[in-house]
Amino acid sequence: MLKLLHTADLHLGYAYQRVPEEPRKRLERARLEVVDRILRAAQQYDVAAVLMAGDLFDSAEPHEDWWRGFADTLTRGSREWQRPIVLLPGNHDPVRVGSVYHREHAFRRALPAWVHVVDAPGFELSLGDDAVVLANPCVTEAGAEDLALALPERAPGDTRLRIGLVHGSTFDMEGYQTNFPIAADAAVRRGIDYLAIGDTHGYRVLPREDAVAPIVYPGAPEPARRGEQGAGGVVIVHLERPGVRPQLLWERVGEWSFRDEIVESVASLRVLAREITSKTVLHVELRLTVSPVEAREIERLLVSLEGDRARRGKAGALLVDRSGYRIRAESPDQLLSGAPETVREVAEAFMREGTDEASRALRILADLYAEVSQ
Amino acid sequence: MKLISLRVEAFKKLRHAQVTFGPRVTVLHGPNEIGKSTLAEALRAVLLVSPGTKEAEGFIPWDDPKGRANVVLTFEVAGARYRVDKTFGVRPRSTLERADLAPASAYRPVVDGRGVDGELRKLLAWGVPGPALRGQTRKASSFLVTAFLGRQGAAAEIFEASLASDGDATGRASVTQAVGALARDPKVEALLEKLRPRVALSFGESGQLRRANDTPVKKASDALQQAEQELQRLKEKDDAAARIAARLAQCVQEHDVRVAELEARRSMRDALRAAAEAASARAALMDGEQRVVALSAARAKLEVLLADEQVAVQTLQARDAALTVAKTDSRTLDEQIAEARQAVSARAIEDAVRRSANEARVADVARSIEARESAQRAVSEAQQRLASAVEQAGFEAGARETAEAERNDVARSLDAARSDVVGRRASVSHALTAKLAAEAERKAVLGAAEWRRETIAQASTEQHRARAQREEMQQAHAEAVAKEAATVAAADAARQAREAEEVRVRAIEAALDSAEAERAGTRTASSPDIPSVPRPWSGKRLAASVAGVGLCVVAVLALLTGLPFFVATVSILAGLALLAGARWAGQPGARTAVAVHPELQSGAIGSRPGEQRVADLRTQIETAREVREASRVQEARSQSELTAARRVVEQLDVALHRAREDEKMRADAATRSHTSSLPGLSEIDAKLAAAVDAVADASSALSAAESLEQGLEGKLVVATDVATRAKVAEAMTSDAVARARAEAAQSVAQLAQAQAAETRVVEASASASSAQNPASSGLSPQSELAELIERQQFVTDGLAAAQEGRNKAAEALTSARTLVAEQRTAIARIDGEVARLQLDSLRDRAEAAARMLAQQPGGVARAGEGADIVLVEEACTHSADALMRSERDLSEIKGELKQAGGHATRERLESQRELVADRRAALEELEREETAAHRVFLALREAEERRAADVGRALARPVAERFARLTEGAYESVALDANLAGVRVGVNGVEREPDSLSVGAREQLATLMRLALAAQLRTAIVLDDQLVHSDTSRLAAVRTQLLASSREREHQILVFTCRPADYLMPDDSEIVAVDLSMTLRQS
Repeated sequence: MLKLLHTADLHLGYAYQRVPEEPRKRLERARLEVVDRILRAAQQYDVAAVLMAGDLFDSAEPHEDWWRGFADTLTRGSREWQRPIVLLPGNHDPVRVGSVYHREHAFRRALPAWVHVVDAPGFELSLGDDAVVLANPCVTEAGAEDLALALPERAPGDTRLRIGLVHGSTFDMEGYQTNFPIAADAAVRRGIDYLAIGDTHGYRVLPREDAVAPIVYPGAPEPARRGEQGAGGVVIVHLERPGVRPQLLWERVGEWSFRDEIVESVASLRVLAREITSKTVLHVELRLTVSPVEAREIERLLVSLEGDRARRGKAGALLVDRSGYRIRAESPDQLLSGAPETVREVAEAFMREGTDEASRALRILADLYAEVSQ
Repeated sequence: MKLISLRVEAFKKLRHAQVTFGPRVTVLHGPNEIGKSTLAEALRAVLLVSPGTKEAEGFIPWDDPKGRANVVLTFEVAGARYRVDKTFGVRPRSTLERADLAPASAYRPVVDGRGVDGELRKLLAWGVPGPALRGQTRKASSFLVTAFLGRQGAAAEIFEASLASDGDATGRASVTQAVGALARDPKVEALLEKLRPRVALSFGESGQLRRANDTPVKKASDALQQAEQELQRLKEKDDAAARIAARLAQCVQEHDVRVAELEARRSMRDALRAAAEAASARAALMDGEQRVVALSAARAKLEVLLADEQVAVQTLQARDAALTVAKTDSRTLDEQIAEARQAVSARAIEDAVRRSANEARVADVARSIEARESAQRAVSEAQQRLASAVEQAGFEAGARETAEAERNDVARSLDAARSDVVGRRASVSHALTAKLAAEAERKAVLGAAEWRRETIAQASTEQHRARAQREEMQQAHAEAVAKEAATVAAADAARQAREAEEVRVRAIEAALDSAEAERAGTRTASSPDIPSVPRPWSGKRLAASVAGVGLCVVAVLALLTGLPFFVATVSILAGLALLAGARWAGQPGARTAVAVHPELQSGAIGSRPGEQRVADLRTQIETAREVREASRVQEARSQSELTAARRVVEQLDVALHRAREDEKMRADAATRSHTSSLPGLSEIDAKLAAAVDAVADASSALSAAESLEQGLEGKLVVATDVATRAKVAEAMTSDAVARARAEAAQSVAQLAQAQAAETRVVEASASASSAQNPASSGLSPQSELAELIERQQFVTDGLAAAQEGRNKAAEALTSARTLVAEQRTAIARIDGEVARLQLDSLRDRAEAAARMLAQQPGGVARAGEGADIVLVEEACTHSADALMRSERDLSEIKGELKQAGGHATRERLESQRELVADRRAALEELEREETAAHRVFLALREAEERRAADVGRALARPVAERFARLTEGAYESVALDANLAGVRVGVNGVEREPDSLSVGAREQLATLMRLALAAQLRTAIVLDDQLVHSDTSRLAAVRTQLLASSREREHQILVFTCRPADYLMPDDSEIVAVDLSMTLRQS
C-alpha cells in the first residue's frame, strides 16, 4: 500500500485586490500558512510523498517574500520527516529562464534535498522499488500539448505503481484545448494508476468516480475567489497495486471561505452579523430600501462585520455592493430630535426634494449630527 | 476695544483730568457738576470728532476761547495698543500711535492730521461715516456710538436708533459678525467644521468637483484609471490568446479534415487496391476456369478429332480396301484381260470375280454412304453447337450491354452524386466560414459595444467637464465685465475728480492772486468765487451703476447662453433701472459737495485780513495741489486698472469662446457617441443562429449526399463486376462460337469430302456394275477383252480415283491425326497452364481479395469504377502533403500559443474586470457621497448665514433673558428687527412698544440691550448716569448683570454716576472706583 498526499494551486502571491488592505494581507498570508497544515497532514497520514501539482505561485516570478517563505515553510515543516515533496510548475508559474523554478534561481538553493522540482520534461522519481512518479512541467502559460499523453507508456513487464503528475485542463472544461488539455483516457493509455493534476480550484475526480485509473484535481487548499466549490482541502491517495482503483480521502486543510449573501431586510443582516465567522470573506449585496433609522442600523451592522480602527470585524473581509440599496426620504424627527432649527430646516428641505441625492444628503446630515451630538 | 487711560487738558470746563480704567467695571463717581459728562464727552471727542470741525469748536476751554483743548486716549484693539492725541481749537492737531503688545514695543506713529479719524473709524468699525471736513457741522454718530457712548440720561435713545441709519456699513458688519456668532448654533458650527475640510478638499470655489491630486475623487479616479489600463493590457493579451486559440481550433479542425481526407483517400486507395486485387484474382480465377472449360472443350474436341481420326482411319482403311479392291480389280482385270486375252473360258471365273467386285463395290458404297451420313451428322451436330454458341453469344452480348448500360447509369448517377457531395462540402465550408464570420462579427460587435459604452461615458464626462468649464468661464467673464464696468466708472470718476481739482486749483490760484493783489492794494473787490468740487460719484451711485452695468452684461450673457427671454429681459430692465437710479443718485452728491468750502464759496475769505487770507489760500492751494496730484495718481491708477480689466475681459472673451467651442465639440462628440449606430447584437445573434442552422443543414445534406454517393459507389462496383463478368462470358461465348464455326466448317468440309467420296464410289460401283454386266452376256472374249480393257481403263481410273481417295483419306487421316496431335498438344498446354494456375490458390486468392474488399466499406464505392488508382495515389500524396502543411501550421500556432497568456491571463483578466467594476462603483459612490456632502455643507451654511444675518433675532434672546431675570419674569420676550430697531416687549403673549413700559423699565431694557451688544462685541461701554429711575433691587440686579457680563465676556463697563453707593460694595474687588472729585480739576 502506497500513500500519497496530492495538492495543487496554492497561488502564493495572489493579490486579493478587491479586499481592503488589512484583511487582504491576512488572506494572502493564509495561502502560505496552509502549507504548514498540509505538511502536518502528510506526517499524520505518513504518506510516502507529497505531490504539488502546479500553480504553487501565482506568477512565474513571485516576490522574494513568497518564494523564501515557501522554502522556509517546506524546510521547517518536513525537516524531521524528509519524505519526497515534488513541486510541479503550472500554467501560472511555468518553468523558464528567470522563473522561480529555474535551476539558477535562489529558490532552488533554498530548498532542502528531499524537495524535488519538475524543471524539465520526462521527470521520473522512484518511490522505492514498487512505485514511480512521472511528471511533465508547464514551460509556458499556454499550450496545446497533452502533458499526460506525453508521459511514457508502461513498458511490458513493468509492474510498478505509476503515478502521473501534470497540470492542465481536462477534456470536459471550456477552452481546454489551449490550456494543456488532458485526454479522458490519458491515464489508461499511458498505464498510469493515478494521474495527479492541478488547475481547477475545486476537488474533482475524472473521468468518473469509480475509474480504476482516476484523474484527480485536489482543489486549492485555500480558496482564491468566490464560487470555488470544493476548494480548501488536499487528497490522501491510497494505492494498492496496478489495476486496482486507488482509495481517495479528501482532507480539509483550508480555513478561509467565501460567502455571497443578498440582504433584503435588516433582520437578515442582523442574523448574518451574528453567525458570520472570522475567516469568511463576505460579499453582501444590499438589495433593499430602508428608512434613515434603519440605514443607521445597517451601517452599524456593516461596521460590526467589517471592523473599524479599534475593533476587528466579525467577518474576515467584507465587500458591499450598494447598487440596490436605497434610503427613503422620511421625516427626520427621529434622527434629528433636539437638533438646531437650521439642521431641521435643511433636513426637511432634503426630505421634500425626495431624490436619491437628497436622501443621501439626508443620511449624511443625520450621521454627522449623531456624531456631533455624541 | 479696551480703554486703558484718558488724559484731558483744557477741555471745555475741565482743566485737567487723568483717568486709568479698570479691566472690567470702572465706576467714575463724583458729585453733580464735577465734570463726569464732560469727561465722557472728551472720550467721545477723542474717538470720533475731528479737530477743526464745527463740533470741535465747542471743546475749546471755557476760560480761554482761543485756547487749545487736548485729549489723549490709550486703548487696545485687535491685539495692539494705540494712543490717540487730539488737540481741538486753534491749530488743531491729531496723531495716532501704535505699540505692539506681544512682544511689547514702543509707540510709533501710524497717522496724523486728517487721517487719524479715518484710521480710528476703521479700528472701531462702529458704522461712523467718514470724518467731517474742517468746519463741518456733521456729528459723528451711528447706532453703535449710541449704544456704547450713550449720552447722560438718554439711555432710551437706543430704541430710536437703527443700523439702517448708519452712514457706514462697518457697524452692521461688526454687529453681524459678533451677534451673528450668537445666532449661530454650536452644533451647526460643529457640523460645518466637520464638513468644511472634506468639502474644501473635494470641491473648488466654483462648486465643481476638484480633480487635484490630493482629492479622494482624483485618487479613486487614478486608481480606476490604473486598473483600467491593466485591464486593457490583459484584454489585449487575452484577445491575442483568443485569436491564437481560434486559429488553433480552426487549424485543428482543418487538420482533422486533412487527416480524415487522407484516411479516406488511403481507404479509397486500399479499397481500389483490394478491388483491383479482387478483380485480378477474379479474372485469374475466371481465366483459370475458362481454361478448364477450354480444356474440357479441347478434350471434347479431341474426342471429336479422335472420332474423326477413327473415321478417317476407317475411311483410309476403306479407301485402302477400295484401293486394294481396285487394285485387285485392276489386277483382276489385268488377269481378265490376260485371261480374256488368254482365254475365254475363264468367263466363269470372271463372273465370280465380277460378283465379288460387285459385292465389294456395294460394300464400298455402303461405307461411303455411312461415312457421308457420319459426316452429315457431324455437320448437323457442329451446326447445332454453332447455333447454340451463337445463341449463347447473343445472350452474353445482350447481358454485357445491359450490364454496361446499368453500370453507365450508375456511374452517371455517381458522378452526379459526387458533384453534389462536392457542392455540399463547399456549402458546409461556406456555412462554417459564415458561422466563423458571424461569431467573429458577434465578438467584434460585443467589443465595439463595450468600447462604445466606454466612449459614451468618457464623452459624457468630457461634456460635463466642458460645460462646467464654460459656466465657470462665463461666470468669470461676467465678473470681469462687471469689474471692467466698475473700473470704467471709477476711471471716469477719477478723471472728473482730477478735472475738478484742477479747476479748483486754478480758482484758488486766482483767489490767491487776487488776495495778494488786494494785500498789495491792487484789488479791492472781494475774491472771485471758487467753484466747489463736484462729487461725481457717490458710493451708492457707483454701486448702483456697477450693479446696473453688471446686471445688463449678465442679462445679455444669459440671453446668449439660452436663459429664458423673460428672465433676461427683466434683468436688462433691472440693470437699466439701476443705472437710471445711479444717475439720479449722483445729483445729491454734487449738491452735498458744494458745502465743502463754505468760506470760499461765500467769499467770506475776502473779509479776513489780507495776510491771514493769503496764508490760508496758500495752505489751501497746497492742499488742493496735493489733492490734484492724488487725483492724477488715482486717475492713472484707474486707467491702468481699466486697461488691465479690459485685457482680462478680452482674454476671458477668447477663453469663453474657446470653452463654448470645446463644450459644443464635446456635446457633438457625446451626441455622436450616443447616436453612432452599431449593428444590433440580436441581429448578429440571429445571423449566427442562421449560420449555425446553415452549417447543420449543409452537414445533414452532405451526409445524405455522401450516403447516396456511397450507395451509388456500391452499386457501381456491383454493376462493374456484373459488366466485367458479362464481358468475360461474352468473350468466352465468342470463342465458343468461333470454335463451333470452325468445327462446323470442318464438318461441312468433311461432309463434302464424304459426299464426293460416296459419289465417286457409287459411280465406281456403277461403272463396275456396268462393266460386270455387259449388255450382252454373250459377249465374245474379245469383246469381253475389249470390254475388259475398257473396264480396266475404267478400273484404272477408278484405281486412280481410289488411290486419290485413299490419298485424300490418308491426308484426311494425317490431318485428323495432326489435329488430334495439335489438340493433344493444346490440351497438354492448357492442362499445363491449368496446373500452373493452381486453381485452388486462385480461388483462395479470389476469396481473400473478396474478403479484403468486403472490409473496405464504401471505399470502392467512393472510388467508383472510373477511379484511377494512380489518381487516387496522387490524391493520397496531395492529402499527405496538405496534412504535413497543416501539421506545420499547427505546430507554428502551438508555438505562438506558448507566447500567449492562456488561462492564467484569462483568470487575471476576470479578476481585473471585477476590480475595475469595484473601483468604478467606488468612484461613483464617492462622487455621489462627496456631492451629497457638499450639498449638506452648502445648505447648512446658507441656512446658518441666513439665520446669522438676522441680528435682531440673535440679540433678542440674550436681551430677553437678561430682562426677564431682571424683572423676575414680568416680561417674557423681547423682539428686535433686523436693524436692531423696532423693539417690542412681550407681556402675556402680547408684544408692546417700549413706550408702554415704565420709565425705569425702559431705562433698564435700554441698558441691558446696550450691555448685550457691548458684551457680544467685547468692547467698552459708557453708562453715564443711567438707571436713575430704578429702584434699589433692580439696581442691584443690574449691577450683578454688569459684573457677570464684564466677567464672562471680558469687556469694560464705565459707569459715570453721582451715586457710587449704587455700584460700589465693600467686598467687591472686581470694580475699580475712580473718585473724580480727586482727579478732575476744573477751570
